[in-house]
Amino acid sequence: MKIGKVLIWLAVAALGALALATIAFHRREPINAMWLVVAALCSYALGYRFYSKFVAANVLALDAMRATPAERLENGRDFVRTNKWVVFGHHFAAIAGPGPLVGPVLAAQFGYLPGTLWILVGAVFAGCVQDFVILLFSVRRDGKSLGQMARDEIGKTAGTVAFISVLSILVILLAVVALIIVNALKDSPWGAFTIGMTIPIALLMGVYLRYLRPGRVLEASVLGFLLVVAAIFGGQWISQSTHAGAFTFAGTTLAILIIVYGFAASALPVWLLLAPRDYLSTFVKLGTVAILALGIVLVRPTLQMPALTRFIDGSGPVFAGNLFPFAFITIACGAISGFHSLISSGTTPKMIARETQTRMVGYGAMMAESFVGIMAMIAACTLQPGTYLAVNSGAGMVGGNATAAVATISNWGFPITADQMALLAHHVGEKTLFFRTGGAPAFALGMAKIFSDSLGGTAVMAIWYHFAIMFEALFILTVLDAGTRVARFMLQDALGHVWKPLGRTSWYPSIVATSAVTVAAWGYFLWQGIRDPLGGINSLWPLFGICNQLLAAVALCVATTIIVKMGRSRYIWVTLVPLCWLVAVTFAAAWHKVFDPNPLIGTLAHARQLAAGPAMEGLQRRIFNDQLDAAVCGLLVVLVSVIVIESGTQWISVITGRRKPATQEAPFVATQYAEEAL
Amino acid sequence: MKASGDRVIARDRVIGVAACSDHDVMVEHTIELCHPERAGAHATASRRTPALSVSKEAASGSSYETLKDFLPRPTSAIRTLLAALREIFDESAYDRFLLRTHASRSRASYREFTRERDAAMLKKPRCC
Repeated sequence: MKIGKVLIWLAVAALGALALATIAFHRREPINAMWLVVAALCSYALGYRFYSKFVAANVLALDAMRATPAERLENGRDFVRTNKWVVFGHHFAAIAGPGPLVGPVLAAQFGYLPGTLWILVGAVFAGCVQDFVILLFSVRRDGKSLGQMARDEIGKTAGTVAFISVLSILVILLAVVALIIVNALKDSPWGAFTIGMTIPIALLMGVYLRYLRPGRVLEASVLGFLLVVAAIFGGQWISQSTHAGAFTFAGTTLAILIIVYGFAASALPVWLLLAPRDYLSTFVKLGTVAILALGIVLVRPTLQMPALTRFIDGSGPVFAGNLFPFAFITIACGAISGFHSLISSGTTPKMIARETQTRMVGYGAMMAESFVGIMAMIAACTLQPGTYLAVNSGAGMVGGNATAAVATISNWGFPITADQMALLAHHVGEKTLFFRTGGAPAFALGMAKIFSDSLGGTAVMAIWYHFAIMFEALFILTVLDAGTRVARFMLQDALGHVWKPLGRTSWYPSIVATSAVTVAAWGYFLWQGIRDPLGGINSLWPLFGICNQLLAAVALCVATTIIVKMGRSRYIWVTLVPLCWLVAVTFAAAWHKVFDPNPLIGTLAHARQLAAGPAMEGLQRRIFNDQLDAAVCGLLVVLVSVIVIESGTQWISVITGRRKPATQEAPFVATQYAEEAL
Repeated sequence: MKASGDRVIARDRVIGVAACSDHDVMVEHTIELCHPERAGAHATASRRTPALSVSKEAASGSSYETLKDFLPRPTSAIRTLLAALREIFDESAYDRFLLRTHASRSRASYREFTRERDAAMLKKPRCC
């Protein structure tokens, strides 16, 4: 490396260290959000330049001369050689969802420090590595899915376990995202109207694309976006009119509406609702993420949240549980997300033109996603801690009404008054902001604050707030649409082995039956969350985090097994260390969720508390729900343990020479584009 | 042996008649040792690409993946951005479909395209 480059990288390292030291050791006064931005950018730059390069060259030995499946199997449909930046955008659009926005907002109850450090360290050494290696291994196996790779490389049991894990995580994920949207829209005629309008807008886009201007998707997306913006203003008008009552829904009503919507979205033709909504959501997502980044850089907001709060002891009102392990399962997508391994072994490997591009696409896109997580953390921490807690805490955690809530939160040392909350609610066009658990409203508030500081002041804060709510709800509904369909497809695939017609994706009775089963599964957990006096998020988000991180553990088991079989055992630590960390975190979290004696954390303790308490309506159902949560958690841990043990046995056999290493990668074929590759 | 061998292939590959030196012989030998199935392929690639060498960075891809590839050229960046958007929004996929089926842009061809794409959409999760 030339001396100039060395000096530049030393400067980047020094700046990153300074920023991280400021974040970590500055205690008395609030710090500027730019320190987080600088720390993140420097960490990503160093991670990409040095660590990912080390992994690429030494562990994976990327080979520019090896033909990828996009070249060998090119069919103009699934397998298409694509420009690396285009694949990057495509991959980022697929992995970026509401997760990196919601997780950091919830974890902000511990202060900005733990979440920020986990996002940076987790992404550079675990999340980006996972996405990168799984993408590369899928490329070397003709674009095989994670489940197929688990079956081929570890064993049949691993394949089955991976299948069950993916299905479980989908069910829990869909319930959680639906709960977030319900909590954001309940008693909010403005929000409910705006989001409700996105359904006819998506249908209109579907008709436009099919009958009026076939294939003009960007054009239809721009039109859809303009209509959605009009719907935001329409929602404001509705909320101030006599029609407001017609769009004011309780949580249970919204839950039913979303369940019905999920079923319809799963059973309706893809072109009519799912595809246009996907386009609209992606359009808004890419634009808003870019605007948010710009807003943070322009406004350079001050973080009001302390670096660490008293809630690291596990007494947090947003969700109960100690810093370890709960901070690390609460933030998944910004640091490491098992779900990404499904995308990395889905459509993306079929578009990669050269092996060397997997580094930029896999590692790089995850870095971008991680930066979205940092922005969400900034948005949450720009709120006054009292406001943040009043919005994010369930009624059962801080008192049943506004007066009790402000008293409880102020007693914790985060002063807030009911008048301040009422004024804030007025500014954003809501009746109240208390007990809006789920992270989305708090994120929307932070985003509205950042935007209104740079553009328009408090006069337009309501517009920005509802824009942010709409943006998150669009994300979530897209995840709901796509997730329900994927789960339905997986179910059909599995049932097809029992009775062939059930596996036919064009047979309507099968579509309706499997859609109903899928929606009923996540709908049950959603209902459970809605009826939970502690806000639902307290029990469901950790469950989702555990599922997601366990899936990451499965992906890292597959990756480690392949690395060992490639004869690169000395680099096993690259995936083994993140795997050990994830196993420690998820197993510890699962243990606490099931067996912790604190009823706010342990589901069995909560069930016992309910059983010992006074009789109430639905008592048996609530006890059963607790036991069900415990059973789901326990089952997943057992399943992943099976994969870990099976993988470990393979590693030991190969390393000790008892088994000949043999990977299942496709035979080497030299690229036809050697000149281009060089 | 195997690990270091592969790294040699990836990091120091030298391809081409002009560059065919002792080093190239060593690379070919390593391929034969570690990946016998690739031995012929290397020679094939060599014939196709005369006198070119791959730098150390080739293995990690860093020579090709940096922002400097297109940042100094704003028009190129805009073109790439538009291409990415067209790919994300399936417009490119529709164009490829038209090319593949020799059809023209119409309701009927778009209907066919969406029918084909729906199967893929069914398996395509959106991350949380």
